[in-house]
Amino acid sequence: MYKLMVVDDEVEICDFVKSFFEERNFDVCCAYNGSEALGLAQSSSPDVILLDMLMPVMDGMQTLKELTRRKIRSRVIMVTAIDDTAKIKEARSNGARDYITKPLLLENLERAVLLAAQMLDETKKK
Amino acid sequence: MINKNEWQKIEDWLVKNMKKGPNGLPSFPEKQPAVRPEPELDYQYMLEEASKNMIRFKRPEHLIRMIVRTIDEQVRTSHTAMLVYSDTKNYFSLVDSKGLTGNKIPVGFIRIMEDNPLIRVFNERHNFKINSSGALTLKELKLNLSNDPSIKDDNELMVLIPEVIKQMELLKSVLCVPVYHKKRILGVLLLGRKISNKKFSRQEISFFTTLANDVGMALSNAQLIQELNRRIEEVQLLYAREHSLFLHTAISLAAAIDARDAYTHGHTERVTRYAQIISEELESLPEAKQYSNFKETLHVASLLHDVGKIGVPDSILKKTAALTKQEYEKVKEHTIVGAIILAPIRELGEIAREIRAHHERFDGKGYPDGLKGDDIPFISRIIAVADTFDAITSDRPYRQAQLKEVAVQIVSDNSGTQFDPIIVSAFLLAYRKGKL
Repeated sequence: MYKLMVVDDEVEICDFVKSFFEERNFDVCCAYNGSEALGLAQSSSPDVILLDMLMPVMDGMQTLKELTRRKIRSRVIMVTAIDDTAKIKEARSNGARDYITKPLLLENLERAVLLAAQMLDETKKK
Repeated sequence: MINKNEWQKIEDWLVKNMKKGPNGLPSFPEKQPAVRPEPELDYQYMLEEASKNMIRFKRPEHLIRMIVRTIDEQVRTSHTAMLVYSDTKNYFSLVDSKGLTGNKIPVGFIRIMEDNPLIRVFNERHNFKINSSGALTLKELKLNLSNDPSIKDDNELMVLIPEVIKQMELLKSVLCVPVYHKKRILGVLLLGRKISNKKFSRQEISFFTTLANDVGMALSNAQLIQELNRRIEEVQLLYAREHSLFLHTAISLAAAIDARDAYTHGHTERVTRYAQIISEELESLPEAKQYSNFKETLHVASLLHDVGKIGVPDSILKKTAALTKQEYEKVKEHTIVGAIILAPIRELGEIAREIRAHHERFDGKGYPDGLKGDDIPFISRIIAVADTFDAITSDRPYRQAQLKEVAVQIVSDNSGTQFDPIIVSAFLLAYRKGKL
């Protein structure tokens, strides 16, 4: 069972995404801010992290940089606002593997997370 | 609203009082009003309430919110949401959403594109082939896919239906009701399974389709109103632009007149300012109110009052010696020339009259028409005072500027003869207030 961590300050979004991926056989945990995400990432080492860019206090970008600095091996998918190309570039150069734009297409959400999990398998095989 | 307990009582009463029919089943007593205490009557009532509310709601979002809430509370679904198409964003998104934790799709979180299979199936009206109500249930879709021979022959549907099923599963929906207006898909009502796990009844589905029709009507009305408002704004903007262009043209024209003569340089600007100051004391008079826009008409008329000087040769305008009779006649013509120049311009039609009369005297001894008293346009009477005051207080080719006090005395002395006494008193009032 793959482990997914959802990081979003909106509880409803966390709840929905959690239930969405639990139905797809993921083990899902939620973090509602950046620092919580860092702690949870270290303790439960998720395979995939779905990280919202726009959060108060410690935003997605800061969280991403800190995850990379701490050498956390999870695959990070950023969730950003549409047309935020500069942020997407910055996230990529800071270790994010993929991104989804909000409001999102559910099939993209499903595909991106499944793909990230499968990629993890391939690297493990090697 | 009659609640379920009361319905139960009515139902019990009816069962008790009904005669047994020929086949042993209960039948309605004769001559009794036909009351059918079936649960769908509840929906009938809710529907009536919803329709009443529809009239009450000015904004479709409010109607949608009420519908989503009603379904969530009365029908008790795991989640209920309304997807609505946005013309500006070109996609469908949730306007309202309710439901259990994890089932509720947060508003603003997702978007559904126009080419989404769920939208296509409704847009291309395949849904009516599956269910005549137009609503699609997950169960029926799956059943049709495996059993219905007419669908097996339809290659397009054989491809589309599994995609629709996939979309409904992504949206955790077991029932989707299209919101149409004139065959155009405007939205989709999404419903999760019932918390009781029972299937949706035909009455319930018909209830939802009726609600969806109401939403379609409300959405298209709102769109029409929005479109209308947008057009009004557009026209207003165009008008404002044209109007500003017109004002700037007047200002440029006034600047062009001033620039011809170093001696009168700044004259137009000053007269405009004086006229405006004097008019502030006069705004409440009925004479001012007869203009549709007094302030602006005065402003533009003052700016352009000397536009006719274009027709007066420099040799006369800049002459230092006294003018001959013919030369003076030429100068006087600037009132008529000004009016002729401006008359063809629609927006300046009213102003042409004011400009022609700015050298008329209150006693009728002015030019060009010898108008008297109230026959002289009100604005012309104001400009006459402002014009004279500036002429006296600035240098001219033939004499030097005089003191303000002297000019005030001259204007005051000519009240009732050259000038309208009302305007002169307004002028004196403004002067005493230190505005001039």
